[in-house]
Amino acid sequence: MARTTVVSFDNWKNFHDHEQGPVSKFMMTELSDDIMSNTLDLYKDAAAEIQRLLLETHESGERFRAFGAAWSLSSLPYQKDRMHFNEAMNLRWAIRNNWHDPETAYPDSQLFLFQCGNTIKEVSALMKRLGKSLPITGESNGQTIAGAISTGVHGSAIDQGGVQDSVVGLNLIIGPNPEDVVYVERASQPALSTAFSQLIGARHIRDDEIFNAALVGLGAFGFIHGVVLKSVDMFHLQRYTKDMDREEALQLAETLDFSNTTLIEEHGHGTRPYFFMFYINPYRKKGEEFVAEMMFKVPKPGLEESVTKPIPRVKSFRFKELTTLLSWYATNINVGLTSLLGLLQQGIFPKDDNDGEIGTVAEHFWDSSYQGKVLAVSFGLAQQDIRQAIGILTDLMRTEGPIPALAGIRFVKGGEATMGFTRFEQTCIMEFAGVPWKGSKHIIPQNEFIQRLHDRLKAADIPFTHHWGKMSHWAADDLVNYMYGERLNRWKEARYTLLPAAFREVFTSEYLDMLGLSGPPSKDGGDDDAPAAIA
Amino acid sequence: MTPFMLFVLVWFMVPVDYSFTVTSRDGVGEKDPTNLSEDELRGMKVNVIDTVLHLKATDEIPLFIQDCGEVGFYRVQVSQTLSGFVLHTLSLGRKRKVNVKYVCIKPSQDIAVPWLGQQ
Repeated sequence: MARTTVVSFDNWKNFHDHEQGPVSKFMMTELSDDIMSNTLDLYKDAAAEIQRLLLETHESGERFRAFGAAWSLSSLPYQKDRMHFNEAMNLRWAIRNNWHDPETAYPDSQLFLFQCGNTIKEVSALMKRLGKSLPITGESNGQTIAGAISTGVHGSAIDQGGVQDSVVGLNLIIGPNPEDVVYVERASQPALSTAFSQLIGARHIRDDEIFNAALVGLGAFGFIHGVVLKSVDMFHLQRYTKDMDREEALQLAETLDFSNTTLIEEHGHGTRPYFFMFYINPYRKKGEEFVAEMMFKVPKPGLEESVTKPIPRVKSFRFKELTTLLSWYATNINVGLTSLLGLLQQGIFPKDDNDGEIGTVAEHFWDSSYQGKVLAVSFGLAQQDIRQAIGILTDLMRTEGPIPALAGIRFVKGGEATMGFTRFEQTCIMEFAGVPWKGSKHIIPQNEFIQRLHDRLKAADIPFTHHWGKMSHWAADDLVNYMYGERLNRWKEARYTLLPAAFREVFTSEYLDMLGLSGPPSKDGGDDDAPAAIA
Repeated sequence: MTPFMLFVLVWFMVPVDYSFTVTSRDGVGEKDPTNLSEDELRGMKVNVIDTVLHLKATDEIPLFIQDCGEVGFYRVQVSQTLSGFVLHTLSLGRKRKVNVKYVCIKPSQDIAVPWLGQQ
């Protein structure tokens, strides 16, 4: 039988050291070490243990929140009653086509089933053994697969979606009864047969609305026990950096049209990169603000070829105290802060020393380590708004700052998740990252800075969303309604359709209460307060 | 300043802890979410060897035998301190202070490619 141990916390912190609060029951489940003839029996045994914990939580009148690597900078993984750490639940399988639905469009050997606690690194490792890969990951690989999709982890592959867009099926546990183990996939894109659902002991559900809502479910659609992922054939990317003029950069950001551009001579004129993003230091003089990082698809290097690989033999780290010092300096002195941001730039901007290095997705976006408290705020925007929005952000960083942060732009193809923050057809992600700071007579408080940014974007009629796993002024009035409009009600309706009534309260949290996400859908199905800016 | 005072001053001024860490490129470390240490072992299930070895003049490098499953070590951090170095010197090599922290590879079930439904 799978084992769960319980501890309590006076003040739980996430991986990046942001204090969250006390936790009365902090639970950790490990797979059974009993001898079982089939690893699927271990999977079903773990499901039974989760159902036991859910029943216990319900009977105690408490709430339950699962989490994995705790990488989210927001309070999304936190719940004061019961938190469940599931990273040790890491079974995984490749799926042969005998489990495919006859109507499926997915080819053989492309689909995998991962239990919730597999990290992105573990996902990539299994795929590699079959010559497969994820199309893209986030900047690093430590998130669990369930956590990554629940918050919408993305990279900057311009023609690909986020990690959640590789999901074709979800195995959810929504209560303690046999029918509460469900496998959900889109009716419009069937993948696996009912025989597969029976194999994993789940009730088969085909429903686009429920699947798209549960895909970025924020922990409110039950316990994500398993995720069916589609893969692509393994490929290699060659990486470069390049200083870029602001106007040229913004034209590319607005159009992603590379037909008249030579980014890197070796890759020819008009070549579209696979990965593309900008780093921006608005405190540098004009012409030196933008640095582009790009990657091109290339053939696998031959054994005789001498190529630079992305993973170094020795990796050095800056003193973590530097970030604390920078935060203190920004708050208490601030004079000449822009000069000190060079330190930050060294840590955030890509280095050109290794231009030309070649590796797989898993090699380029490899391990990262704890680096102390960090700040990261990401906005999802429609592509046509990026010029105006980045103008607003950099203007505020200069006029209200300097703040201890630098900016960036990434590009992600829009996804189908109802509450995915990459919901725009071609989503531009505008972000600023650095160290968190407090307000003082020398500097505007962090949340006030974000509020002013919200106000300016709203005044310019620019629709936006926020990365669920990063920071924001989440308590801002009506934020989620502005970001998602009628999608919010559709998400709630799907949640109320899927979850047993008695367990809706179990799968929520104070954070979701604050965001207005835990209540019922409105009866008319409408969204009375949706602002005009919603696209 | 007496030689003793100079010794004490040097003791505190010389960086007393120089450590290095070796990590697996492709492995994943075993996790412990209750470990909130502020270093590169944060969030990991850390095992510690902290002891002073008493060696005979004929003993070679000691071998510590630890249980890390079948797949091995994910990360090993070796710390050398000035006090350990002094102890080793003053004892003419008979005493050796050992401070090692290590993390095992996260357990997993698959050795070959696991196909779904395979017995």
